[in-house]
Formats: sequence, structure tokens, C-alpha cells
Amino acid sequence: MIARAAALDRRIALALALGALALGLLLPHVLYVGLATDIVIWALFAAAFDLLLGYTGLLSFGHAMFFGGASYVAGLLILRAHWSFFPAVAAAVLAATAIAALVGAIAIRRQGIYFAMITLAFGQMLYFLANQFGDWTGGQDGLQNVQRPTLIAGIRLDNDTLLYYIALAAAVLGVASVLRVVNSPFGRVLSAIRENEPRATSLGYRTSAYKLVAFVLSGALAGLAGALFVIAHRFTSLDTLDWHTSGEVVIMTVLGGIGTVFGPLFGAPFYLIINDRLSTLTTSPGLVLGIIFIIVVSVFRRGMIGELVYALRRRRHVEHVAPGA
Amino acid sequence: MLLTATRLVKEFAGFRAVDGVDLRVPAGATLAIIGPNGAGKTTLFNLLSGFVKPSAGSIAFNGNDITELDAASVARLGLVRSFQITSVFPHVSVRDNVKIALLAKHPQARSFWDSASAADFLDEPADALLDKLRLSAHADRLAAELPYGRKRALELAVTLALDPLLLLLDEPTSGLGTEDVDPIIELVAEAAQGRTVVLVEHNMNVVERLAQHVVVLQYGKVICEGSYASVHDDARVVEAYLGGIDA
Repeated sequence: MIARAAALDRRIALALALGALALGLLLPHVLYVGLATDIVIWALFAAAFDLLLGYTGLLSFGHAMFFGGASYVAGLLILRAHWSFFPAVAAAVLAATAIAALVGAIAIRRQGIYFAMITLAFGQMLYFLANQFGDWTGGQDGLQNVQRPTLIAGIRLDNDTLLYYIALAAAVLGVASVLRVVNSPFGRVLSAIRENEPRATSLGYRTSAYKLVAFVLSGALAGLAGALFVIAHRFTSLDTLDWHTSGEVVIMTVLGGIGTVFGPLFGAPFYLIINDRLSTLTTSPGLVLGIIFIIVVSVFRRGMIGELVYALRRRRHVEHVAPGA
Repeated sequence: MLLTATRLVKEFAGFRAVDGVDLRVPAGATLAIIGPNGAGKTTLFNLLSGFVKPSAGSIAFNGNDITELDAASVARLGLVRSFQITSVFPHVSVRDNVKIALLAKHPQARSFWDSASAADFLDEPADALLDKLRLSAHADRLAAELPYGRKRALELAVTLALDPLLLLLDEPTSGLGTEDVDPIIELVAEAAQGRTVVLVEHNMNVVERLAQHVVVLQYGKVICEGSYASVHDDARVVEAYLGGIDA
């Protein structure tokens, strides 16, 4: 019977994965390629964020520090040292990993609002540092004119469509990593900690260590998204480090559905497309977005994809219980 | 002695929940801690299992001083507790609840780059344990969906999965209807075979049937200890309980 339940859950997961992939392949044909690339990057960022929020229950309000931090590292390496794509992205991800390890080591023992506040504080700290060291970061101007790096010998990523598919491939790898982690034995322990931390502790799990690993993995993948961002946009700015960026990724994740991994993949395009359309229609898209957010969250308490998965599981559960009852 | 607590004190803002408790638990014994509500039983449990640090006194377990150890480390030494309020992983299947507990002893718990099947080797021991606790029929249900009595059995299964040297059971029959109490007593008695058990319990019937030694707490102090029969007839115990009801 568990095989059947698991098979159905696997079917849901497979359907969502294929849906997301189809959307990813279709996107540059229905939207302008710049927006499509943004969607892929933010979807990766949000999925990385969901690894932390959805699977450990920790709400970070400073994830911009990984996204923005990595965008600056990749941007500087490409701008000043002319690094090619893979080394620059790898270095940026490593930098995000290091920041996450450092911040996580301090923040991870805190819970709830305290964890959110500490991560927010660190995020803002990085923002002010970036602003302070203007010689390196460009201060308020950010890093401008970051030329597209070469992919491999001779192939420069000047073609936006090519870059889109490279970003998509990176996002697919990133999201696959998240799925791998949440479905690993380690991921099961994470869920157990989220569900009942004292119980997990009483079983001998050093829960802080598990949460720290999740935080660092989440930060590293957020860094991957940040590195892609600076390459796609040819610039990065303090905005990527701002708390507003941390807030946006929370909204995308909640819209799509916390703890689903796939939810954020749909939450990100939903948010970005509406934002894009609104900005041509109104001067205050934030107000309209806020109202839409309130409506969606009150109607779909589990997020859009979260609600769908819940409904499908319930149907399975009814089938499962009824014959035996 | 497998577990020794010496002059244990826990103070909360001037209030002594546990006030100079000495406890000696020989290996293989089943010991019950009883006492009226607010006597400090659960605080004592929290101290013994490392969830709360004592204000004074010391705890030794199996030759180790565990006074300052964190709860996870205490559990790793083989002193494992259950909780008074049923404490399982609600949105995880019954089998996976036990598997998560079994996994705690294996390095696979830390492998974040393995597929879930890396824990499949625990299916067999998990099913054996579920069978022992008569939970096999529920293995694939979510823990949250279990009837209360079965949840208590699962709580026991999760605790036993670690094969602890010393089992701390916090009111294993609390909240159970009379018809559910007997099966749990049997399960605890089975689990106690070749193991050391300390339980907090309100149900005197349970205490009588399980414990060789009874310790009575009141206002954070041990007021009396001995066999069930000797404690049962002790005037101080009767007074404590009647006083407890009045108050």
C-alpha cells in the first residue's frame, strides 16, 4: 500500500517536474527572453529558499545576501579578471557557501522571529558593506557593463537565447539538487526536525548541525541564482542585496507553496509576469501585487501548487481509507 | 548503578521545582516516580534527559558524568526518553517514524546526496519493531491519523528503536481509556525485559504491575521510597495525594 501511495506521490512529483520543464522550454517563445531568463533565475532562487523554509521551517529574511553576494563576486571576477563562465559561477557559489556557513553558524540556534531578524541583520550588514566599499562594488552605481563571459573556448554568451538555455540548465541542475537533498535520508531527518524538534533531539540528532547544512546548501544554490543574474543582466547593484530582494523570494515561495520545491517554480513566474505587466499599466505595481498576494494567500492557504498537491493527496487518502474502514 | 542523581536541584525564578533529589537506579530495574501534580516529576525527567540543565547537583549515567551534556548527547549514550504529550512526527508515516528513529544510529542520516532508498535497509528492523508493538496494520498511515492508543504505542516504538540502555517513560498511559491501558502495560513490560526503565505514572494500577521500586515526589522532594506495597500504605503518601486533591 505504501508503494501505491508513494507511487502516486511520485506521479504528482513527476507531473510537476515535467510541467515545470515544459514551461521552461516554452518560456522564451511566449515572453521576451529577458523576462524568461529572470523567471528561471528567480525560480531557482525560490526553490533554494524553499529547501530552508519548507524543510526546516526556518524563515530567513536575509537570503539576498547569498543571491546578491554571489552576483557581486561573479560580476567582479568577470569584469576585472575576465574569468569565463564556469570558474566565475563556481567561485560565486563558493563565496555564497562561505557566507552561509558563517552566518548560519551564528543564526541557526535561534528560532522563529529571532532567526528571521538575525538573518535580516546580516543581510543588511552585507548591503552596507557593499555600499561602503564603493571602489570595489561601485557603491550606489553597482557593477556596470559586466561583459558576458565566454562559456568555453571561443564561445561568448552574447546570444540571449543561448544564455537563457544555459540558465535553464543550471536551474534544472539546482532544482534537481534540492529534490535530491529533500528526498535523501538527510532530508527525512530534516522533515522530522521541522515536525518535532524536541523529539528529534531526544533521538540523539544534533538538530542544529542538520539545520546548518540545510542553510548552507540553500545559500549555495541561492548563490548560483545570483551568479546567473549578473551574467544575464550585465550588471548588478545594491538592489540584489536589499531586504526587498529577500522579501520577494519569500513571496514567490509562499505563492507557489512552501515545502513543495515545485511550488516556487510556479510562484516565481506568477509573481514576475504580473509584476512585469503591472509596471506597464501602473506606477505602483507594489500596491496591486500586495492585493493579489493577499487574495491568493487567503484562497490558497498552502500556496497554488501546495493546494493542488494537498487536494490530490486527499483524494488518494479517501480512496485509501474508504475500503478498509 | 546505571543512573545516579545526586542532590539535584532545579530552580525557576526562585521556585524550586526539583529540590535536592537523590535517585539511584540499578541496571535492569523498573522504577516508578509518582507524586501529585506539580510535584516536579516532569522537571526531573527533563533534567535526567538533558533537556534542562540543573541549578545544582549532578547526574551520572553508565559511568559518565552527564550533568552538563546536551540532550542529543545524552540520548546517544543510551538514555532515551518518551514524552508525556504524545510526541511523534505527525505528517510522516508510522513506518517512517520508526525508521527516522532507527536512522539516528547510522551515518546515512547525514548523507544528503543519497536517494531515499539508502535507508531501505531499515525497513526490516522497522517492520519487526512495528510488529512487536502491534502496529503493523498501521505502518503506512500518517502518524497523525492514528487513534490515540496506537499513537502511544508508536511513541514507545520510536523510543525503543534506539535500543536504549535506560528508558525514561513520561506517563506512558496518560490520556488512555481503560481498555487501552492494558495493552500498553504489556508492551512496556515486554520492553523492560533486559532493560532499565524509569517511568512517571499517575495510574497506580500501572505502577503496581510494572515497578519494583517506587519513588514518591512532593514539592520537588523525595518524601518516601520503597516497594509499591510499602509506599502505598505510607501515611505521608496518602497525605500528599489527599492534600494534592484538596489544593
